[in-house]
Amino acid sequence: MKRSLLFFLLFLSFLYGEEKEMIIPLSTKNFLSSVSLSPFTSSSFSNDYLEDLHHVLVFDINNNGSCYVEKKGAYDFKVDTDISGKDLSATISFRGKTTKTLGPYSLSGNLVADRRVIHAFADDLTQIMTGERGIASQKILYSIQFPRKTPEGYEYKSEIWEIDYDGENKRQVTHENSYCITPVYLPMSSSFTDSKFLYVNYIKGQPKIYLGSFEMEHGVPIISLRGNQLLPTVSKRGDMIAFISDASGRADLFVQPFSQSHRPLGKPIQAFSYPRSVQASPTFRPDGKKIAFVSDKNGTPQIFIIDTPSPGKDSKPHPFCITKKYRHNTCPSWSPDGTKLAYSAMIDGTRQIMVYDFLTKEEIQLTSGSSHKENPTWAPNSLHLVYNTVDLSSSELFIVNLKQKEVMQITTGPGKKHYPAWEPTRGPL
Amino acid sequence: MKKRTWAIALSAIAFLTGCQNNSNTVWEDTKTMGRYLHRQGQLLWKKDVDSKMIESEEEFLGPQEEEFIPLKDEDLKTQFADHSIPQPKEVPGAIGSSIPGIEQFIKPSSHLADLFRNLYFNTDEHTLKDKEAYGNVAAIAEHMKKHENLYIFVAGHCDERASEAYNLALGTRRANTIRNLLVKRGVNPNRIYTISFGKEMPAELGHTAEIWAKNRRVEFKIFEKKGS
Repeated sequence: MKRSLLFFLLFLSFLYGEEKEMIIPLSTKNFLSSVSLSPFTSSSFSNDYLEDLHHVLVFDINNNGSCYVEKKGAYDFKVDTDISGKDLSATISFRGKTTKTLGPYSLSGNLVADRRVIHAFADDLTQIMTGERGIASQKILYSIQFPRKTPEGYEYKSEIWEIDYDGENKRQVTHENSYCITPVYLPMSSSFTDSKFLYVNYIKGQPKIYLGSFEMEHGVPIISLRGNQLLPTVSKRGDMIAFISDASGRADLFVQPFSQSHRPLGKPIQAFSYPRSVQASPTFRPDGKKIAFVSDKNGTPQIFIIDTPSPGKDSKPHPFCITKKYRHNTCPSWSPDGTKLAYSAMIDGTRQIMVYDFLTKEEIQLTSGSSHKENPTWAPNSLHLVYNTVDLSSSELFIVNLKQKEVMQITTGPGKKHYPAWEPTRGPL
Repeated sequence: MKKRTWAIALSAIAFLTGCQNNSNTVWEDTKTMGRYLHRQGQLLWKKDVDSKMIESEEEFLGPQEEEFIPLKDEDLKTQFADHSIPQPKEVPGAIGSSIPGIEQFIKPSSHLADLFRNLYFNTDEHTLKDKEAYGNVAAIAEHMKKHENLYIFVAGHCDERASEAYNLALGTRRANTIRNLLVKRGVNPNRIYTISFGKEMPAELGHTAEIWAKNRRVEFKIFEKKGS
């Protein structure tokens, strides 16, 4: 009897324990819609200038994750542009039938300002063609580290920088003359004009979470908690911050309720702690009710999910591990639509970007190649990801989307660029 | 017969223990009364006895009162397996803090350089690499106990192999391991601050096992508080 049961169990494990081969639905333009785009013509601007702006628009369409510009042959969408005076507008038709208009958008003749106008135009165009607004207007925060050789060894400084999604308009946003890392935007309602962000600053020694503003060179510490404060993340509504702290003597997960006026509400809540283990990299589900984070409580770092604690709510944390395929999984990032979790997994000795699909419960490998890839974060459209490589000689930022296999490098130049964070869409919180 | 012997023995133990407790209690009460009378006597002669009214809950509970909402004890699992010691409440460099920021802490030099030398760890471990390193921690503890105005930063570093974000958290574990060892040897926990740099600041650049071993370390910075 026992032997029969054993055989039956072995048979079941054979049926269900077999590792499935994943098919990655990437690359090929079959998934994408083709767009015929007319050139820009106007007597108000030089041809070279118009060509520069046209290149920006072509780039935005080719990288919106849903379309590509078709120069010859059949197309799905036809975009006829018109610049009257300094106003850009367009007529969009779908396979020669439905027609919609877009614009006008005022151009100024200033390339930096007009690039923004074209990005906004591209995002609205994407909205018409795909039903979802594009991400060309969104920016990316990240850290750049500069090492300096001194007689005693190396001295390291790091500041927070911002860049357009296409790698243009790079600018330094903190001037702390310190070590600043892991920036993250605070979600904004459309009425907020003073954009803010969080970052970790080592200026006094222990790393503390600071509130930064694009109008100020220096931020202010915001969480009153002893010890190291690391790896902050913000809920989609901006009402909670999760972070890692060793206030209790261990690297624990904490949640701090937060007001929309950028002030902590009450005390931080210890959300998860486990003996002899390290917790890291929290990320909120968009509804704020769950948190994914890294813990090595079972040996190697894996990604777990727990319910978000709240003051007065009496619930025990029951961490649920979702990463089964690989052993060393870190840096989770929950997609804004809540259906996917991006993370970094060690595969054949190299850290690659993976996506866990909550609908199919599959783990899908998104990147390949020899560079280590870490710190993925989602764009607001839940389609694009930005991550950084960690190479022997440099660290750069790259963008990839779920529909196109090609990755796009958006940074170059000196310094180690890492910890990218994609700007969320402005809107009601 | 046996039962009676046990009953007599237990009664004797209970009686003796009771006497012990009673004598202890009486002795403690006597000492308290003595201190009280001594203080009253000093007050009569208008001597400052350094007493004042407790004005806040925080003063009453002391500096280690939780500034966060902790998990319940049963959710913290087996604390005895991983004794954790809360961080000092006084934040270095913060407004009103008597401890300055790290810019006034120095890398130990001359005779202290050897005592506060870097300590090294095995891969993905928070325990020290060799017996000699534990001896070094004991020597640091003895030095700190003799120099009560000495404050230290313990900075935890990692090698480049794990991910950046995970290493930031792992660095806290290494720094806190050293802090816990010092506290267990009698150093006041409020004089030891931890920092985690993860793998952000390698001591040596390179990608060999030897260099990784040099980068898995804790470093010390010290500050001598004056006038206390």
